[in-house]
Amino acid sequence: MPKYERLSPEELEVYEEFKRKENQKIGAVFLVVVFVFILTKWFLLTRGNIDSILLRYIGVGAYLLFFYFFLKNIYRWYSDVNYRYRANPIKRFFNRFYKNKLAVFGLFVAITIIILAVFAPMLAPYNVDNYQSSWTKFSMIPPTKRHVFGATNAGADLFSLCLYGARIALTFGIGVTAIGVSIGIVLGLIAGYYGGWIDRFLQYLNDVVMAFPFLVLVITVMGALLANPALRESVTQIGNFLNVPGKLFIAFVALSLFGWTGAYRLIRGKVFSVREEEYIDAAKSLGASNRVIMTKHILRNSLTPVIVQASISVGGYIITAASLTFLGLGANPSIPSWGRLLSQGNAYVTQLRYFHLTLFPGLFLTMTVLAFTTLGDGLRDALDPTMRRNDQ
Amino acid sequence: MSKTLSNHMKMKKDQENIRLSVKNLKKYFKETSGFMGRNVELVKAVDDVSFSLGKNETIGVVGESGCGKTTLGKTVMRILEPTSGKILLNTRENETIDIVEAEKEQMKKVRKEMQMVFQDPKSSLNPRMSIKDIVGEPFDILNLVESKKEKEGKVLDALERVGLKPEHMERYPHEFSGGQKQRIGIARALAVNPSILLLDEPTSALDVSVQAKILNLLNKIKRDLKLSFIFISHDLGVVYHMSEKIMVMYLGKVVEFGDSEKIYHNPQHPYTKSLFSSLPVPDPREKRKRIEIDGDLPSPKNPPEGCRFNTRCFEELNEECKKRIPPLREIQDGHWVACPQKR
Repeated sequence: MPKYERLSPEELEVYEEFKRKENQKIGAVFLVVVFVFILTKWFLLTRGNIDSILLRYIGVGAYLLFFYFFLKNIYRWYSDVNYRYRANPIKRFFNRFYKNKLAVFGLFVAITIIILAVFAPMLAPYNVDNYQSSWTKFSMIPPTKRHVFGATNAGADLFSLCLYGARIALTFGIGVTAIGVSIGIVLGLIAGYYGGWIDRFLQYLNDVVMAFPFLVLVITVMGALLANPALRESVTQIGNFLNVPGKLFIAFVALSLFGWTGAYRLIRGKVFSVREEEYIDAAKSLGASNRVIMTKHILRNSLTPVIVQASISVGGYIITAASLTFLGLGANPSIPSWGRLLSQGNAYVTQLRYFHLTLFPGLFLTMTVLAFTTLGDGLRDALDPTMRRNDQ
Repeated sequence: MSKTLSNHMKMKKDQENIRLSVKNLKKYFKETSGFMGRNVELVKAVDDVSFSLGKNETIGVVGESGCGKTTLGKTVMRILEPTSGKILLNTRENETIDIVEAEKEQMKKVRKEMQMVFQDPKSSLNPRMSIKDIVGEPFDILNLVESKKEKEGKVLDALERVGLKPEHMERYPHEFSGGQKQRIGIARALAVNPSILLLDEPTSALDVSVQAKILNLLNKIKRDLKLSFIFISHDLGVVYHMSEKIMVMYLGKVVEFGDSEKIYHNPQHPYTKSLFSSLPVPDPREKRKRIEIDGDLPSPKNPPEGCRFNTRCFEELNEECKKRIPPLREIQDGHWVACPQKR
């Protein structure tokens, strides 16, 4: 393969023209979609039919169409034909990332879930404030037109609950990862760069943290904190403030403080190899300070594995949150979460007519985790092709 | 009387011309082992090295792998902290700075006077930075420019000086060949307009045709900018081609030092002799006696007693060889040898 392919000026002009037309097409499609959406809404409103399934389908269709064109377009923005292989690292990254269709799908699902979670109050067709109220005539009905996922034991709309459940799952997964990875990066950078006794100390700390049985720790801390009414009150308040309610907040803190080891070990190992490179010596010979060397030279070149690991661990933490809630150690019953939906449906898992109780929350959970995992895999392949596994 | 006077005059003249003088420089690495680092071993990578570098002069440092050439270079640049000794730098403003004891502000001055070109062009450029950022980095670190535009102009100048084009600015290191990368390394070192350039095997990672180009470029730069070079290499031919003076190192010590003509044509130390006898001769009919030395380089952790070369020396050893570390002695005008048998 040639290192890069250059287009002749004529070819380049043709390509630019093509690009322009494609962009115009995308703009046109977007406008048409918005127009149709507004028109339908107006039409339905005039007939007094506010909650319409048709509108929902149009909305979903518009979103899919928009996303499809968005992905196609962003690929064009970031890949430059004339400098296909000699472009800057960001362009190279996008070139490689978009070749991996599974990873693009993962990105699509992840972004979709995030949008669903953020806009859940607007997107959910039913109010779920009192979803625990007593038995109603809707209880456990199978999927219908009005309730696409069916209803729960208490007769609440399962689809709405799944959307709301995404909020807590993502807050937990992304929050814990963000805190854990930040701590891990800082500690790993310090340990790897300075070495010596600092490194040894952090390494012992890492070993201790890794040796803790997490579940036992969470249960113990929870027991200790919740036994004291004053402490319980303050924990609940902080948790509510952070939108991570109740017991799950304790798990959140515990996981954040204990979840840094993965990123720490990756960064530390990478820093050990990067700091021996000659460009570090070159920066030193220019008189660069430790801070500049650490951030500009070392961190930049050792972040790749951590980005990948972070994406994968978001999925892992979502699973953890769900399993804790399933066990009754997680979110309060008043907050909809996938784990709780699963544990409620658990009693009926053997009965086929109640399949929706576990299938849909489970599907949401699995898809989210899979999305973040494939996204992580794709990121790894795109960021650092040398790290690619042999099976591809 | 007249001789001492002339010597004195000469010394004074030399003093004025000196850019850098290194005195009794030592760099020991500590290697700890055992419980809580109970056992400490010293690796004497650079042991008591002294030399001085004149204006517009090149000193070639030669020696086999592991003899401390690179460590010497890095210690002089203070990338590694020296264990003891003095490194006196005469700046262009006629200020003398001891690099070993220099504070932060003084080190900035040192960085502007002295720069280094590294051995491996592949790893001496940060792969995530564009050429503009790499060559522009010294300006940022040493606060040499006011605006972005000024920086860009200076980067362009530096690139032009080493024969690179303006369109290379936006590219990344992986898009260049080895020779081009080394040119970028040289451009970065020249960016701050130094008076001394420390070249750590700048051509050893390149193939021969590119080597020649880089060496010619270096010579041209030296002439144009009136630079002094410390040229570290294991390639004797290259060193002879480049330098006015040659310093031969063995196990962290200088064994021979002097004008390159003298050392090349009349090596005195047995180690130097064997080194130079290993040079290939272009004429196939010419018979040349090759001196081969036995054994490997001894570990610098516990070097041999007395003369460090005595385990591999092919000359007859006497008592002094095994007891006393031989000092550098001037056996001829401008030719110093550390061998007890040469006087």
